[in-house]
Amino acid sequence: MPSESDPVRDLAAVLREAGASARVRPERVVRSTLYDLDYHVALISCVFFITAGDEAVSRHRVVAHWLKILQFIAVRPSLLADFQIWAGTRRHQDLDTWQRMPRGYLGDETHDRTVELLVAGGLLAREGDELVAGSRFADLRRIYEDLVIRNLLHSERVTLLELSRTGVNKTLLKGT
Amino acid sequence: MASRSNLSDYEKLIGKLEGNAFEEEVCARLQTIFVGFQRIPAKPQGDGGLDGLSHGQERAYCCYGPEQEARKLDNKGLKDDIVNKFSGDMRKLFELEFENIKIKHRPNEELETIMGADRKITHIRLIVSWFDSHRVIGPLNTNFDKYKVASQLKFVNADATLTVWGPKDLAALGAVDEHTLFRIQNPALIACVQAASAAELVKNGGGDFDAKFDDLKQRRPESASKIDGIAQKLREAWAAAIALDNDLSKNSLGLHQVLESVRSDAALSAQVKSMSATDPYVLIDRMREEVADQFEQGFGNRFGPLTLRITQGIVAGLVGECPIDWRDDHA
Repeated sequence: MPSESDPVRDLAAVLREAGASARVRPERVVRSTLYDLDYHVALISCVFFITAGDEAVSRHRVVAHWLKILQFIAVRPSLLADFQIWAGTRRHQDLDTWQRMPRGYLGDETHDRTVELLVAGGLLAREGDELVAGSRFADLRRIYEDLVIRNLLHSERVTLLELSRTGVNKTLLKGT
Repeated sequence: MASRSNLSDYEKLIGKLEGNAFEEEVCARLQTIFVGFQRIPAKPQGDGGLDGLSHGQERAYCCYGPEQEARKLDNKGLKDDIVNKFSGDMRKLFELEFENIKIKHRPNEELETIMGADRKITHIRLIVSWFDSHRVIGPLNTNFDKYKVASQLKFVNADATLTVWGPKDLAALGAVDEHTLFRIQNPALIACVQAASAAELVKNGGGDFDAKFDDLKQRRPESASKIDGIAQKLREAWAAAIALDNDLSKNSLGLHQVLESVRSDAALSAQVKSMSATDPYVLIDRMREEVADQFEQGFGNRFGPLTLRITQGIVAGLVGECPIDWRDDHA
């Protein structure tokens, strides 16, 4: 039973006193972008063009799990500091640094489905445990360039730029 | 009734906690069992040697979650740690200290500010996370008797008694329900929801949220302060719901999706059920019921007493994010 001081009931009572006509619009419940396919495609394009090397030197490529971590942190910059501490002590991990690893990324199924779609569509291709540029990689480039021109996903791109300074190493991903 | 499996799980989990985490869980457990349990904050002035009081300040609780290093578990190091820690706590309660090897009176000014006038402790309960050896009981009782004789007994009754408890005793103290297990498994999540503050999370004043309450105040100027109070309570609850959302989005996307569904399903369901309702009370109350039902379906009783605050916060969020409106010009 709600208590007498339940503010929701108090609000309802005041609305009644005021003769207000309340409405509910379920269509205005905004679903989190964390589950939005377009958002994830845009994030993946950012990871590739900010962190996955210089195309002039070699083909863009990124370890699939690394991509998953980077895009996860890009959306949650509050995880960045802990992640860098964890990554910085990878050869000498103790319990304190080990627990800073943001393991929540493992449950990011929207990312997994987005990667599957991009691979199926030829924008990306799998090579072993890496994702590399596919035959239609230019489409991903156009998305990224559009984001930059319109100054979209600015916070995510700044975080990824910071993350690009952390070198990937497969031993880093061991046990995650 | 608590299942044997839950009791056993709780006993194992609390037995692994150390330091502040152990103390916080013990206090949370005792708060659910004893209505009058009073936790004693250690900061900023110190706890005077006490972690909690109950039964009208007659029962005192001291906790200790020692570091359980493997090397200590196999020898008497851990036993000595426990005896030393609790003996120190008891000396504070008895207002004593060692000067060289001699024991002498030392006023406990902090305890003076904790204990009510003319109240005295009649039972001291020492609660430790590692209680696999009975060998701590003898030395602690010996010290207890010794301190009682040396003390001026300002805060402890002359007939006071002592017991030592471990994880098994805490588990057997009362029901170990879904919330108790979830709390001990996710202390950081529970702490962040508990500590959520509107001042930190709703920095921009809530946008539409504030506009809606301003509209309500214009309609009912005589109730302006009451409406402000309601808005503030809802903001605080909203902060808790946002803290939960943030934590789940970082640590458990599966549960985060459940929370997302609670919001959207509750809004849809409340709209359908209140289609013929013209009374705003019915609509908002339906919404509250729907959120509570959907939240219970998704999370069960994992959040225990925090559930009400979270469900209120979800409704507040629906007010702030537009789905619930009552302004005429937003029809």
